[in-house]
Amino acid sequence: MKAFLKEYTEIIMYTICGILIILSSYTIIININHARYLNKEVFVSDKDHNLIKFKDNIIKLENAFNNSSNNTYKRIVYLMKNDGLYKKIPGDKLRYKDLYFLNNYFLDTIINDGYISSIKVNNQVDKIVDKYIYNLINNANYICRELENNSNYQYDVLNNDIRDAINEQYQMIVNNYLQLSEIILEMSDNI
Amino acid sequence: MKKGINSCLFYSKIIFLIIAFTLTLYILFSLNDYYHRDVVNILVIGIPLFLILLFFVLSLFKDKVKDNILFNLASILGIIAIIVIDYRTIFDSDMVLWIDAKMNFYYFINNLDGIKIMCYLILLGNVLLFLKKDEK
Repeated sequence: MKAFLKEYTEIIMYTICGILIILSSYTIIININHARYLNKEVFVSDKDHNLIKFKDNIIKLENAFNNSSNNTYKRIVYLMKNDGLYKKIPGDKLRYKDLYFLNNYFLDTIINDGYISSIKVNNQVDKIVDKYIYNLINNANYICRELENNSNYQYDVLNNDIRDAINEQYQMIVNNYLQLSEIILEMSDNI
Repeated sequence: MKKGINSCLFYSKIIFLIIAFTLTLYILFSLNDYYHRDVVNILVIGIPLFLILLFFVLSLFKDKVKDNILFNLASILGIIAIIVIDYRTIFDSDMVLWIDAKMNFYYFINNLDGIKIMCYLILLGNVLLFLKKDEK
């Protein structure tokens, strides 16, 4: 053992140093790149028809419930207008974590607070509508998982273009908001 | 010139290690607090870090160990990589999972194996360096 160590200590040392230098340089470089990737602000599409449609729907809903005494629907309209996507404009600059806030606001506040604990509890909701909402929740959960994975596993992300990634996720989130506003609009017609 | 660079590397290695040691232990204690995990999890990474610190202090008194420029450089890079991971865990608010606990434990756990590998490699290199010099 001693003879072996005497013979090969130097070679083992050089190997260890080599592995350490390669591994640590790779870790440092990939982490710096990933931090820059997540910190980048990206312009989203300036001809965002879905966002404009969503805002039109909110105005229609507001007008529909303005004189109504139905507080459960008023609440969800208030939540959709108060914060989240309504504050964004076409061609806005967004970062990865902004998407996460938008999606979480949709899931936790609008769906859970506005729809489930307000509309669903106080009104009879059609099964088909419930199924649509369930699909929206699934989509939002999927987006949430994607955003969490991309922000945590730096090795997979760096091959993708940040602009494409943000725009793709953003469109999915806008679509969710739009679909929900259309569902509520349809429900408002039946009241 | 070479001696100057080497002693600069050696002392900054000790300073960086103290920073890495403190940050890593802080994260591990917070992680244990947050998830009510067992203290044994801290020892897995705490002991090698402490041993590295001990070896570095011991090598202060062994000039031949201290003067290995390649090992000093490799250990500094390894320790900086650990600091980068610790720094992002505590301060990088751009990572979405940082928002819940004001510290991204998931990211740290993902990179824990990398930290362990670097710690054990530095430790092994140090032990070998001591053995090699003792036999001469």
